[in-house]
Amino acid sequence: MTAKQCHRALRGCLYLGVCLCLYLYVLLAAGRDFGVSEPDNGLLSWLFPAERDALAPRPAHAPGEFQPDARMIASARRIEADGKRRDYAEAMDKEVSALRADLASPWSSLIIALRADCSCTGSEYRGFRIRRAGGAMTVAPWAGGGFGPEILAERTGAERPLTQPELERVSSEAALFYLAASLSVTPVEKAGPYPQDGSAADIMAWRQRHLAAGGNPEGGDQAWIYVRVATPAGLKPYNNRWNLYDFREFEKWISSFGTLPQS
Amino acid sequence: MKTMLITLTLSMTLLAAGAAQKDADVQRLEERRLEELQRQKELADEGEKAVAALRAELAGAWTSVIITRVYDCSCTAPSYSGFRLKREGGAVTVEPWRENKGRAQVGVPRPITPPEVERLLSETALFYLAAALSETPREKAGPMPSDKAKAKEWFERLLADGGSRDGGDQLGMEVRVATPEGVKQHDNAWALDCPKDFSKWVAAFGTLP
Repeated sequence: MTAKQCHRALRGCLYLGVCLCLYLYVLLAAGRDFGVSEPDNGLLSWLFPAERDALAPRPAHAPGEFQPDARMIASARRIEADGKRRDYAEAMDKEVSALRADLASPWSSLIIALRADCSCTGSEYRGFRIRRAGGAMTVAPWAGGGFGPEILAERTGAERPLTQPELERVSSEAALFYLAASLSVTPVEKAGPYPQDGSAADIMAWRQRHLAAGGNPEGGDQAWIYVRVATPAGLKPYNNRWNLYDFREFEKWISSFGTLPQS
Repeated sequence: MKTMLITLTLSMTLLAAGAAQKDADVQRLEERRLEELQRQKELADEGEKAVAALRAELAGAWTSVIITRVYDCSCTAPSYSGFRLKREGGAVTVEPWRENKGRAQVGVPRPITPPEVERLLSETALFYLAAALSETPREKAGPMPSDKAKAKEWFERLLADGGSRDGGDQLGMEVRVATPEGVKQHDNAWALDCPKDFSKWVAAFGTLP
């Protein structure tokens, strides 16, 4: 081989090396974006053993010890999911009974509203307010605006009297809508708590779960049931998020107490 | 020069392949997300229709309405406990009601006023809405596919959501509306452990030994 040929061959190898690096970079970018890489992705696993180990199912046994089969693992997973569900149900029961207790207390005003969180304009509240002064009660349409849970501007419509049996019915219906909102599980709730201090692998796994549950990667609009009870001890707010299509009955219900023109 | 051209072409091909793989992965995930959203929308529509149908029947000329908690045990037949509203002439009564192994038992009826009836029926529709919005592991998994490989995947999903391979115990809500034309039944299973709120509510009209 002449010196010229040798030089050509070396140059070819250099180009090939550069191209291979570019290809590896693209593969890694594809794997990392949206967290679509599977744990057994050969290239990613080889280059990032820490991420691979974090994503891969951890063996529950030391070498030589008893190894559970797929059926046993599935059964264990089922029991774990069942336990989580039970914990969630208990938390929800507690929240609904706390709301019922506050609704039965000597409150001075009560607001029940649909909170719509738009990524462009902040939060908008639409609903009604019941006020109790002495023995008399009134109900009026109510609206508010703000960012997040903070309400900056409140508006109310014409008040009309409300009887005690009507109040009892409204309070019971509000608690039941709250129960319905608790049972309407959103993609974020399905994905579980976001790993705030988690590794890249934890965040990737969370994003996958969130997307698979129908979640919007950019956040998107949200709807909540909002109940605010003004008690002698202070304001007690209750918020629960509706899944995207589940709040239509609630929207109809709150509109039946009158609506205010959009500001 | 020739080597350079070959390597450049090769690198472009590799880059294009990498980018195509990335696009395919993102698209696959987006498709899965949109499918899930569509499924959720269909479920919400079905739930809304079911609640509207129940509300229409409860507003109709019924002669009796039974509202119960259903405990469906895999070992024994389903058992029901709740209450029954009966309308005779203009008067309405309420009484505790239970059914076990096809045998129904009733308690002492007491009169109930029209506003109380309205409130009870509204609460019934709202509990039904809550049950419709709660998605059981089986409802979430959808119908079992006939293809063997897909059925295996379906079982895995069902178990991961806490569902049971053998069916297992289930808790639900049932409303039976009797009209002169016949009895119309509305059922819905609770996804989570039956809310205590509902158990307390159906027991508020008295229980039978």
